[in-house]
Amino acid sequence: MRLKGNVRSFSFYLFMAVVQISAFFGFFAHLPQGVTAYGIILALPFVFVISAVIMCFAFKLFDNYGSDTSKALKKGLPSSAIVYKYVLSVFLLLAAIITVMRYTDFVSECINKEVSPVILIFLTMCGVLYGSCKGLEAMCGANGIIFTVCVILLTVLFIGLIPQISIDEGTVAGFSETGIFSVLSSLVYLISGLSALPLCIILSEKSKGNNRRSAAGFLLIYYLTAIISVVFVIVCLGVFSLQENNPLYALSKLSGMSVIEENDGLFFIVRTAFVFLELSGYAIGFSSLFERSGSRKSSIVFCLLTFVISEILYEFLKLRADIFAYGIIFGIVLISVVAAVFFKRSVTGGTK
Amino acid sequence: MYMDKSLKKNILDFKEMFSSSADFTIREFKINTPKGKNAAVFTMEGMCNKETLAISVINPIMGCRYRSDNGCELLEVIKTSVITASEMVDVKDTEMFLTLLMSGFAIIAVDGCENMLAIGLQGFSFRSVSEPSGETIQRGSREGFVEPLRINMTLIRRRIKSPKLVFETMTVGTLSKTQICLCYLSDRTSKQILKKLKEELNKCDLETVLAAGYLVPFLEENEEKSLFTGVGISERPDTVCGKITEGRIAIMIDGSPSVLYVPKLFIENFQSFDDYSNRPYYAAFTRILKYISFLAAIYIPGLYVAFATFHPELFPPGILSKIVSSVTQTPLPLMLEVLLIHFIYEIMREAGLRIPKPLGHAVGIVGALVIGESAVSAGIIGSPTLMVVAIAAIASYTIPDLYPCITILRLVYIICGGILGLWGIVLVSFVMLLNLCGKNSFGVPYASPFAPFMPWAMRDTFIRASWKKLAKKVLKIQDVKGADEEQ
Repeated sequence: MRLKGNVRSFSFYLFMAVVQISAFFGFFAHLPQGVTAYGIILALPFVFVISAVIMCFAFKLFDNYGSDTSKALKKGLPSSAIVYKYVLSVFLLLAAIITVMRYTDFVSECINKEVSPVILIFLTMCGVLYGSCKGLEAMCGANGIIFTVCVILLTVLFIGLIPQISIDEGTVAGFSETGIFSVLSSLVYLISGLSALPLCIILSEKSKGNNRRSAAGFLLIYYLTAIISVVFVIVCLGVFSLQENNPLYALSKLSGMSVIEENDGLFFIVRTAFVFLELSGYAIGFSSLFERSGSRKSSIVFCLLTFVISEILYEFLKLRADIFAYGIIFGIVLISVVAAVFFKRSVTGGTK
Repeated sequence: MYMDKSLKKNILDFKEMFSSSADFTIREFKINTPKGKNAAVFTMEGMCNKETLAISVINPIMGCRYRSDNGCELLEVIKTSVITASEMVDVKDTEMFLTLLMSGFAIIAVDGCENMLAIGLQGFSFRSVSEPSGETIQRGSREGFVEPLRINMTLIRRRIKSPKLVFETMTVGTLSKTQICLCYLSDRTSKQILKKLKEELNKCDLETVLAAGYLVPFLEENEEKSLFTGVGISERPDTVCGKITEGRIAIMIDGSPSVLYVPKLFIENFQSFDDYSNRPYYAAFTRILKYISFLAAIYIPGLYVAFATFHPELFPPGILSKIVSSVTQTPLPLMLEVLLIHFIYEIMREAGLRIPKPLGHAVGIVGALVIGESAVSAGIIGSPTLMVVAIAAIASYTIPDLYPCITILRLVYIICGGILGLWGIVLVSFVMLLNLCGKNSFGVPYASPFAPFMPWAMRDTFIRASWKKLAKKVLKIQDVKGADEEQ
């Protein structure tokens, strides 16, 4: 019979790539405080290099973990393994909360001002809960279709925006006036947005079945999809909306296509679809840490916690804690990688 | 339960069993033996051909002289030397007696023998083979399945003249004892799927199976959790033969002209038999048209409500002004207005289906005049709204298999679009897509070959490759990526 959760490598890589791209889109759609669009563009080349090194190193390391190593980890270092598990779960929860908050803010500000943020967060988490209950297999399948549709929509957006591209003195001045702080903070944001990495590590072993996962395959698909998406956005990011708080959304309103003159809905659809996939990925990852894949109890707990905490934070903080939250995430990603190296050496004696 | 040697006792038992039912007939007669032996023929009125029974069975039996007085020896002589019928079955117990009797067999019993002899003399009336009204095509066979199982088996055998084609009969329904027949190609069907299908059918604990739809829930995993069905249904023998050659299993039900087949994929809803008769470019065009129609049927009313209520800037200015003037002149909020027209349309459709055909035209006229003219001119509903619902309704007819799920999804999208705007529509789309991708039909992913993606299978999805290309590799359903794999 079919192995449950036996997801094909290509589908899995594409899912992880979309989770990753979703973070990039999030930044372009809604700039965090202290960051400018110029800063993000300047930071992107560094991000690609740094993330390639981290992901290649960590993914390769974790990919070699078999089920025996996991058992040994639990047996040999039970307390550390539990701590490690909780570190990862806190990361997923935090990443989900920030994503929900930023996304809700984006929807409330740009798309749906009439609906209360509480309802938006609640319904988002209901959708995420449904997705996580369906499991990684269904999620990867849906991801393939959503990604294809999104590429078509982005192409339409891209074609519509081509006539508006204009690089003039203002653009050059914008880049030259961007301070190093803005570039550095963009760098921290974007690297901490590498949420796919821990998720990939958690889900890879659970879902691999008979399929081998390779770091090279994952990186290839990830960079291909990420670069295409980012280029789509950056090429069109003329001078029009770089000073806006929601540059991509504002930009999409400038489309020059007469047929779909106001095509900001297209970008919104892409962003929303990616966010649902990203959040469902976190929920599946969270439930995989505690129970078998597709389990409902831990998915419900995850969605409830995300709903309650993001609702409270959204009401009280109004995203003022952006830099603080991302700093924590960045730290957790680093701790995860360091902890993995440490456990690996402890268990295998550094032979691998 | 075994029968008795005494014919009198057997007759009394069967009369009691049938509570002297009017259609249970017994013809008693004497056989010409040295001592004169009693015999009887049991039939069900209307199920047997009386003329053939008299000429080919009773007449030869009574016209012969027999040397033995032993009941069982007499029955053997009748079987081997007297009756010329082609189909004869030995009846050894009451259950078999009842099944064969109700299937139109005439059963001969001789006093002194506990066994009986069933002779196939089925002569009930049935509808002749004709074109199914629900699945008309431009080119191809005009034959459709009919109610008797044996004729349906013939319709398939005539098209696939291979010894690998297997018909396997089973009985379902504790009361109705309906005969069903599994039909498959032994060298192409997955043994896993066949085994699972038999298990599911054996689990069926229905009292009666009067139509093909009765069995569908037993063949679906988590039926109540999905809008889509993983069980195909057709009344066309050519369509079913096409499915069988792809490794699927057909389930024919005695008394129903609809034949089920499993597993079914989502893309099959967009394929029709005409696609394979038309030129590939035209087939591709109609396929793409059907996909667009499906999306239009479920999305257009919902998007219209969402855009008009929450995102009017998304409409081009020319159209926006017309919509605004229409909405301001009508008394109901837009969402309720669309729902109202949608319900009226569904009522008219249901009425048109159920009432006698001559009155159906009247319903159409009343609908067109009352809804189309009067309601708009009275200012109760707006003409853009009416047009939107009409387009969605017409679009849904291009994919008749998906009509039930389109109707429900359309309502959900209208409500979500009216309450949550475009965001609500994207949310429901995400849930719908997950529902689609999470569904399996006998271990085969329902959304295949889109998810999981199979490039080589795309030759028969949005486009239909030429027969020369299709013939190079036969697609078997178990070859679909993600389908059940032997470990």
